[in-house]
Amino acid sequence: MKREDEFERILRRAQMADKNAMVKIVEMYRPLLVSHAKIRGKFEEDLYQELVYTTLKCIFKFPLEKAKRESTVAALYSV
Amino acid sequence: MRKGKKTVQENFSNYLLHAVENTIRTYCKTKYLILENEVLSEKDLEESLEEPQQPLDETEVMGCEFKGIIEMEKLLHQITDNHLLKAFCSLSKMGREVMCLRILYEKSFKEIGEIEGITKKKAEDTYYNSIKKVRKIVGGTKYEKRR
Repeated sequence: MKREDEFERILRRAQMADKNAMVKIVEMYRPLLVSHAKIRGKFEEDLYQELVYTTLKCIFKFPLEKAKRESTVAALYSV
Repeated sequence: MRKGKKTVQENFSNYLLHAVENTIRTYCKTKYLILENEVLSEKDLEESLEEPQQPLDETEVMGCEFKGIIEMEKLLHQITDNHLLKAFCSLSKMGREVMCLRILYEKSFKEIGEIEGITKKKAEDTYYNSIKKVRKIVGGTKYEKRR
C-alpha cells in the first residue's frame, strides 16, 4: 500500500514538472521501453527516444484524479 | 480482496502501454513509408545523372508469363532510370498494376479489365492516364522524343 502511495506522490510531482520525479518514472519504466524499442530483435535508438517522449507525454496527460477515484470505487466493491 | 482492484500505478502502466503501442505503430508506419519512397540513394542519383533518360515506352522491357500474381518488382527491377522509377512509384496501386500488366505481361485491356475487375474502358483510361502522369513527372512531352 505504501508503495502505491509513493508512486502516486511521484506521479503528482512529475505532473507539476518536477524533473527528478519525471526521471524517476522514466527510469521505473525503462525495462518496458527498452523491450518495446526492438524491431525484429534489433534495438532501435530512435524508437526508444520516441517511447521516452511518449512516457513524458503520458505523465502529463494521465488523469490522476479520475484513476484514483476509480481505484477507490473498485477497492470498495472488491471488499 | 485484490481481485478487480486496479491501483493508480496499474492504471498508469496500462495507459502507458497503450500509448507505447500506438507510438510503435506510428513509428513503423512512418519508417515503412520512408523506405518505400526512398528510391534515390546518392549512388543511384549519380548514375542516373550520367545516363540519358529514357521514356517508358522506349525502354526495352522483358515480358514474362502471367501466373495470377502481379509481380511488380520484376518490372521495377527492369527500370534503370531513377526518375522513371520515382514517377512509377508515385502512381496509384491500380495505376501501377495496370501498367505492370500491360507492359510486363503484355495483356490486352480486356484481359487487364478482367484481372482487375474493371471495364476495358476503365483499364484503358487508367493506363493512358498513368502514362501521362509518368511523363509529367519525368519532364518529357508527348512529342519530345519522337523522330
